[in-house]
Amino acid sequence: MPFRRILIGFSSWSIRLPNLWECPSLLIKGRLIVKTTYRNLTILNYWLIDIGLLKALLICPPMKKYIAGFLLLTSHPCALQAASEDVLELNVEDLLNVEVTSVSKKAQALNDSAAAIFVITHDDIKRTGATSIPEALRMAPGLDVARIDSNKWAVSARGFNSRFANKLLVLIDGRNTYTRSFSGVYWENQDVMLEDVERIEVIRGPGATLWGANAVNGVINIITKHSSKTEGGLLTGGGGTEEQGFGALRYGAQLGEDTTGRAYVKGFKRDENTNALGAGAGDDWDKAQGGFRIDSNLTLKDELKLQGDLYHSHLNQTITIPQIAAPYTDTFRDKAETYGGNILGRWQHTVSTSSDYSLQLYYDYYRRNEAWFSEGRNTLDLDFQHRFSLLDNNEVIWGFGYQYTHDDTRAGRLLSLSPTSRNDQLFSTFVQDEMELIDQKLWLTLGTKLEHNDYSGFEGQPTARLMWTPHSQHRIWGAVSRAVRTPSRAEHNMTLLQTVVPPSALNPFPTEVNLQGTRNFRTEDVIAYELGYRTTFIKSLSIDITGFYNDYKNLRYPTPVAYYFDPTRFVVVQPVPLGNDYKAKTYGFEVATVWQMLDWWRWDANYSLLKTDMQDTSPPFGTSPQQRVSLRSALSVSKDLDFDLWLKYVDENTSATVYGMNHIKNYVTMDARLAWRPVHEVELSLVGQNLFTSSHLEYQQENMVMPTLIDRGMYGKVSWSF
Amino acid sequence: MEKLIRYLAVSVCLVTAPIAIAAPQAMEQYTVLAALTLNFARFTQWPEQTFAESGDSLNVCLVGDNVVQQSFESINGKNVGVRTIKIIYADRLRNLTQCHVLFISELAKNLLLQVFIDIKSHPVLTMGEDQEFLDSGGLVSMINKDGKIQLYVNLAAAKAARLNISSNLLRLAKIVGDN
Repeated sequence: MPFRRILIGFSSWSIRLPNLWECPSLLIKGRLIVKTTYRNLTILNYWLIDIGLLKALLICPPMKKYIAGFLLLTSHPCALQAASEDVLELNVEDLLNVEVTSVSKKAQALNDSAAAIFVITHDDIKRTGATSIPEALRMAPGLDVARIDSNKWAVSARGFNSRFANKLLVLIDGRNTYTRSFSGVYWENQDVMLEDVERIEVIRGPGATLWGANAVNGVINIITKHSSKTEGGLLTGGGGTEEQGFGALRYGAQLGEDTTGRAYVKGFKRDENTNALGAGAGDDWDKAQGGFRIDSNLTLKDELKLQGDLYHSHLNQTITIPQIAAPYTDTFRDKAETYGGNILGRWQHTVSTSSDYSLQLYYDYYRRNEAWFSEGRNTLDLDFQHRFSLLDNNEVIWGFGYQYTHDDTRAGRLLSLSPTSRNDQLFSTFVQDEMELIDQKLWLTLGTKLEHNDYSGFEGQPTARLMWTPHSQHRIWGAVSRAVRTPSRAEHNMTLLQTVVPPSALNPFPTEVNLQGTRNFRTEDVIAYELGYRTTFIKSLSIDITGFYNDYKNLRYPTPVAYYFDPTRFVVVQPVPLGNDYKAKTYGFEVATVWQMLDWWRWDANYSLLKTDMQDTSPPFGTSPQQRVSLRSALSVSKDLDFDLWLKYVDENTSATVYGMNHIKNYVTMDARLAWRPVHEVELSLVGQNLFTSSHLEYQQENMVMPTLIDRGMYGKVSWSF
Repeated sequence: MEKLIRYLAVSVCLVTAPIAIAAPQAMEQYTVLAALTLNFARFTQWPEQTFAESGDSLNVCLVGDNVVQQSFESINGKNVGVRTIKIIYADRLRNLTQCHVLFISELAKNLLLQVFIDIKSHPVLTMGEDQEFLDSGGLVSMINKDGKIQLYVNLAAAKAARLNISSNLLRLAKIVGDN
């Protein structure tokens, strides 16, 4: 007997039962729909669900035709759709009248890269109510995002997290946001107009071959929309308890026949959080930022992009700094200031569909003035990339880059660099070949990066990746790569006052413990093994699993050397120079799934497991959370009403601080968002963040900043497009 | 008896249909786009010599992800007059002049412009799914506007490519471009 598909309940669940009149196909969507075919007519009947009748229909095959007929006869609201059974037999007119949906695309599309990639879309950012880049990054599996206080974050992929984490590469529209000062990212300096973000690609694992040094554990690519997609105005504003006030204005327009552009300004003020005593932590901040982007098609084959940003920010912080005079420590409120800007130009020339090249040049400046240290940095960066195909089944990308950076620092109460100003250069070149070994089935990618920097000389970073698609709904990939984290300016040139030991009966003088940069500090390196599988074998459900094993060598390890007495200051000095003597291994897996349960209800869930094996029991760094869970529900109650929930679980972690290891408890928290669009152009939304507790601790910075508990927050927002 | 019930059912539906709230079943976008592409293949005439090499097959080339590929699998092998549709994955954007229909789901703009340069003056029915596709030089775009597909055809450009699209199809489409 032929079987016909019957849909019951949610449109993505189906049960198969015997055929047609004996048992009409069913579809329930809050109502019961009996779909029958008479000649070429498809008849759809709608009722409120009657479980009794439904059971009879399902259980009692001989009765079915009569019950069905009875239902048909007695049904009152009855819709008729004159259409053939098969969509392919619908005529064009009907095809143009049918309601189409593309919502399940995200649940079905599989990424083709042989790497652990996760994409945060514009819509994801909007629906979580995230107000900064690091907060949005919490959506990605394998990423450890911890808020230290209002204006500081610790972000890393696959472990080794800290405020000054150094194994992640972050790019905004092709501009590297990493600073040579500590080989990491000042997250509070990095912002964009979130409404103009097209997507954020999060790549876990080494991406060094294409992206360069410091892409040891991951690459984050923040990509804003092409200016042709942001024409018109957008005005947003709002405020609340933690997000005390914010606003943004963007306007985009056609600037010429082949040129479009946009400009924006934004600003915000964020409230302080809570310290361990339950009082205000003094970490409030504000920021104003503006920028522009222009895209132009000079010819059909040439595209030019010019963009830039300027920002200014006040970062307030309560810091605790050791001192050699009693009481040997000083806690005070520091009103730090940071400002900067960047400008980037990119020219792309298309030779053919299989060949193009691009040239990119940017300049970036930032200045930070803090009580413990201040620095200004100029960076000029040039990049060239060329893609072409070779012998029909090879796609080659090669390129080279040059970076010049100049800094100007001033010693603060904690940190000084010697020399105070320094120029550094970086030369790099890379080549990668993607070979299609079996047509549409098997690809092998081999590549390597070679660079020369002023700190550690030449570095090679090869990778081999294999991608197999046995079927259009399955992807299996594996990779082995080596990546390095090159030394930072601080690791070579710093003197960092770590602690002061007060005088004691044995030692009448205070002892100053100084972390000391050394010129023979080398690169840290990793060999990473990855294996991944992606599938959508169930309709409207995609699963992405990645396992990894990372073997780190030459990790930074401070070792105390002989102390000495400084007669000019009457202090004992204990230098602790940095070495490369530590080894560690991390392994684990990440699962990310998207389930489009209904056209109007999507679930995004991910789970990450990270195990860290240290060389011994006194590691020089903390341990990132072993488990993380993110569960999001995006419910479109109606076309004009969204209701979103986001549940996060973060396992316990250990922060390595100058006060010793600080054990941070695990936490569960939830964000919620309700948005209503009274008219198409206007959206009103209400967002609650960290709802479960009035405040919770996520991380403690390595030094200076005392534990700060992150407060619950609520804000309302209005956005108007015109 | 059974027959009677059927007739009654149909008539009840016919009678009450006008008062019903129409809630037609939503279909997936790429399933509909594949079906529309099949119709375009059926209602378009290519110059006869374009079949000299392909023989009995009408080549529908695809540029898109696995969702697009799976949806268009349904029209593979379907008859179009005396010929049958052959789906070709054209991700590498090569030998595009062998395509009779070229459906492009998503492509970087510089590559899209280059594709149009490559197939210029060849009778390839290029089909896409957004406004940018038309603006860049595409012939047909099937654009999702508020949950329904609207057809846009650059008729002058189609004629220039020696493609003859049936008026039955054109009357359901918005004509864009010159003339």
